Amino acid sequence: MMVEPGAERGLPADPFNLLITGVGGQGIVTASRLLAQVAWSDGYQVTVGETYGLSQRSGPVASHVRLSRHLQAPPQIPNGGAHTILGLEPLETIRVLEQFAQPESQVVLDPTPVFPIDVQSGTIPYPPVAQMLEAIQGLVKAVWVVQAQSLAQSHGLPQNLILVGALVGCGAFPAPPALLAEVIGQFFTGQHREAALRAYHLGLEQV
Amino acid sequence: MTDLTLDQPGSRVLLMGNEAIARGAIEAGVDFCSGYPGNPSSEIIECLAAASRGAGRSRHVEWSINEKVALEAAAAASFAGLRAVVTMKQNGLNVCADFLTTVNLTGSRGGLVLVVCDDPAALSSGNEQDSRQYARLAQLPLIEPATFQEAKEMTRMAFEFSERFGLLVIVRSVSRLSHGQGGVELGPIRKEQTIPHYDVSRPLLAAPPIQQNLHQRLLNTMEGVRQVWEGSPFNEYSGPVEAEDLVIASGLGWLCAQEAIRSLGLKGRVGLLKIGTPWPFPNGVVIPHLQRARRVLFVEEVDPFVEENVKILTAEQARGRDPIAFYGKRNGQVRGPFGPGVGELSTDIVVQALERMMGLSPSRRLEGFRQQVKETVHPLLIPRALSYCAGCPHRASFWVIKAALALDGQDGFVAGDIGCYGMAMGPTGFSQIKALHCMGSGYGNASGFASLRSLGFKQRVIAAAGDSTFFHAAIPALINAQVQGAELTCVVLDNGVTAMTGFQPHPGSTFNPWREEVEPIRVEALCSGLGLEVRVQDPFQVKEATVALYDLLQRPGVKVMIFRSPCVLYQRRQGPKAMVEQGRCIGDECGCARFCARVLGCPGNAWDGAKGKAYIDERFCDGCGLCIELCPTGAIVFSPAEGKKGHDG
Repeated sequence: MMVEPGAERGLPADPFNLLITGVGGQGIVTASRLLAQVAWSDGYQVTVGETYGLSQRSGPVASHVRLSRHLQAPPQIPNGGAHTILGLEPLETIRVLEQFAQPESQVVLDPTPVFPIDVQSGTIPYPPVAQMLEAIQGLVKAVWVVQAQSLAQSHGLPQNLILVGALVGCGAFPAPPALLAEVIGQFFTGQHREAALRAYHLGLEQV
Repeated sequence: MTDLTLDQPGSRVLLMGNEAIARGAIEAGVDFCSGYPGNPSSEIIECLAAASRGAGRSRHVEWSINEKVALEAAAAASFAGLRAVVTMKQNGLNVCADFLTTVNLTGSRGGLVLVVCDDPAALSSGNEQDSRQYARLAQLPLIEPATFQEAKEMTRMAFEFSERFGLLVIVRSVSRLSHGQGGVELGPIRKEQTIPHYDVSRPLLAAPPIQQNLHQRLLNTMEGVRQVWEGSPFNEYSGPVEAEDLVIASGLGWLCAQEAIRSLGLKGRVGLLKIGTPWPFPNGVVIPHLQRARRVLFVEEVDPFVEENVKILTAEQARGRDPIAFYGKRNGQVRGPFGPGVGELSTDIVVQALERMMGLSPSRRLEGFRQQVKETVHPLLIPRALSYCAGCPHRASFWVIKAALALDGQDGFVAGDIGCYGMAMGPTGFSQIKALHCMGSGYGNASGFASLRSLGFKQRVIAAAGDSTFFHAAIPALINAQVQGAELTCVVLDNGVTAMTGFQPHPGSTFNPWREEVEPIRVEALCSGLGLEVRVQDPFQVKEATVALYDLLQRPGVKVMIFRSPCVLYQRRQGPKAMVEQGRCIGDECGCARFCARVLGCPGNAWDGAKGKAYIDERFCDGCGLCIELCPTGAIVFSPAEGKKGHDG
C-alpha cells in the first residue's frame, strides 16, 4: 500500500461525521459497515450508530459513521454535525437536513424515488425531485447527483456499492480508493464480491 | 458475522456492541447461553450460536420459549457449576422478575450473568424502561458499560464477580451501544471446562421460613460488593483536581458528556466522573468529589438513577458543608425535546445542560441555516409509513378478520400482541387491533373481555398472537379463557419464525439456531390436547378463510384459528407475479376508490395517476395473489410466466 495510513493523515474535522440515509432494504447497513471497516483498517478510531429492525418494513433508515484520530465518539452525530451526507433516496435525504446538515456539508445522493406507501397508493403526491435537488443545492456547499439506481438496473449491480464508489471518488469521505477496493474484496465472497467490486468501480467513474 | 472465536489476544477489531458482549462471554468461557429474541439484544445469542459449533469448546445455546424460562434454565446451569449467560431486552426482565427476586436470595454457583439491553426512546419497544431499577429492587450487582471495549470487559468480568459474590450479576446495555460499532481489543479465551453437577447437599431453596436469613445474607453480601465497586477502575475521574463543576455520567452518556465538554472548551474547568458500577452505589467514589463540588450535572438514561443516589448521599453528608446546585432530570435541567426522562440522550442534550450550568450563552451558529432549511424543506416533506411487506400473510389474515367481523355485525375488535402483525393497529392491517400491550397480553385481555358477557358486554372479541408470542406467553391465557367458560375466538398468526426480531426459531419452527431441520411443536396439537376446536387455514384462500372464521365466531366456547403461511422475508415465493389488465381496471370508480393501492396498501399495488389506472410494481410483488382475489372487477391476474403453471384464482 503506497498511501500512508489514515491516522497519520489527519481528517477534515475530528470527529469526521458521515450520515447515510435511505429506505429499509436499500443496503444502508451494509454500506455503513463497509465504510466503517475501511476507516478502521486505515487506522482511525471508528464509531457507528445504527437503527434497524422495524424500519425494514418500508421505513426510513439512517446510519451514523464517525471517524477520529484519537477519540471514541458517541454513536449519534450531534445536531448540525454531518460533514458528509450519503443519500440513497432523495426524500430521506431532505428529511435529515434540518437536524444534521450544516452549510459546509457535502451531499452525495441518488435522485431515484422509492415511493412511500401513501404515494404508491395515489393518496399523496411524491414531492418533485427537481425541487428537492434545488433545495439541497441551495443549502449546502457541494452536491453530487448520481443515477446509481438506473445504473444498478441496467448493469445488474448493487445500487449501494455504486454510491459508495461515487462517495469515495468525489473525496467526500476520507478513504483512499485503493484501500476501499481491498476491503470490499475481504468483506464479500464469491459472486457478490465480483459484483460489489464492479459496482464500486462504476461508482468511482461517475464523479 | 465476525468470527468471535479468534484466539489472538491483543488484536484490535471493529465490533458491534452485541458482538463485544458475546466475545466477553466467550473469553470468560461461558458454557450455557439462553435468551428470547428482543431488540436490541437478539444478536448476542445469534453470535454465541454461531460460535458454538465447530472445533473447540462445547457450549449449550438456546432460544428459550420466554425470558423467565431462559433465566431459570441458565440459573440451573450455574447451580450445576457452569458459567451461564442469559440475554433479553428490558421487557424481558419484567417477564423473569419473579425468578430474579428469588434467585437473588438463593444465590448462584458458576458465574451467572444477565445481560439486559434497554431501548431508551423506545425505538422498537412498547416502553422506555430503566432496567437499573431492577438491581435496586432485587439487590443484585449491576455494571454498565460506557464503551465498546467495556461492553466486552464488563461481560467477561461479570462471571468472575458472580463467582466471587455468589450472586447473579446484571450487565446493562442500551440500543446505541448494542447496535453501534466501535474498536475492541481482544483478550485470551478461557479454555477450562467443568463437568456439571448439582450439589444437593446444599440445596437452593427460597421458601418460608428461611428468607429472613437469606435476605440478611444478601444485604451483607451487597455491602461487600459495594466495597469492591469502590475500588473498580470502571469508575473513573478525569479533569481538574477538586473541580467545583462536576459532571457525573454513566453508560454511553459518558461519551456524549466528553464530546459536549470538548465542544464547549470546558476540559480544564469541568470534572467528569464515570460511574460504571451503579449498583450497589459506590458511595466512596463519589463522596470526595461532593466535598468540593458546587454544581453537579447528571448524564444517564433512562431514569435519574445515579442522580437520586447522589442526592441521597449528599443529604447524608450534608452536615457542615455548602449546598450543591444539582442539574438533572428531577429539576428538569437535563432534558430532551420531550421533557426530562423521556426519550434518549444525545450530545446536544448534554451541551444544553452544561451551558445552563456554566452560565454560557447557547451557540446560535446554525440558527439561521436551520431556519432556511425549515422553510425550504418542510413544504416538500411527506411521511414514510411502515407497512407489511408485499406478500406478507398478515395482510391476508387481517383482511379475513375484518371481513368476518363485518359479516358478524357485533362491533368486533381484536386484542393483539407484539410482532410484525402488531402493525395491524394501523392501516396496513386495516386498523383491526384495538388493544396492544406486552407479550401475551392480547390473549390475556381477550380472556377478560370475553368474561364480561354476563355483565352486559356486547362486543365480539378476537384474540390475536403470532406463533412465537403464542408459545412465549399466550398459552396460560388460552387455558384461563377455557377455565372461565368464555366464548372466545383466538387467532394464531403462524408464519413459522420470530420475524420482527430477525427470523429466529421458536418451538413451532422447523429449524434450529443453526438452520438445521427439526420437528416443530404444532400449535394445533397443543390446542387439541386441551380439547379445543381448532382449524388450520391458509389466509390467502380469502373466501374460504372468511367463511371459516365467521363460522368459528358463531360457535360456543374457546376456539382457535391458525392462519398458517410463511413469512415472505424469510421465504420468498417462486411463482409468477400479478399484473393489472389495464382494459379491465376502472381506476377510481372501482367502488372503493382504488381498492388495491389505497385500501389493501401492498407495496406491490401501485397507482398511475397520469393514466388513472392501477398497476403492479414488479420490484415488490411477491405473487401472493391477494389483490387478485380481492379486486372488485377482477382486473388483476397472474402474469403468464414461461415454464410456470398458471393459477386458476
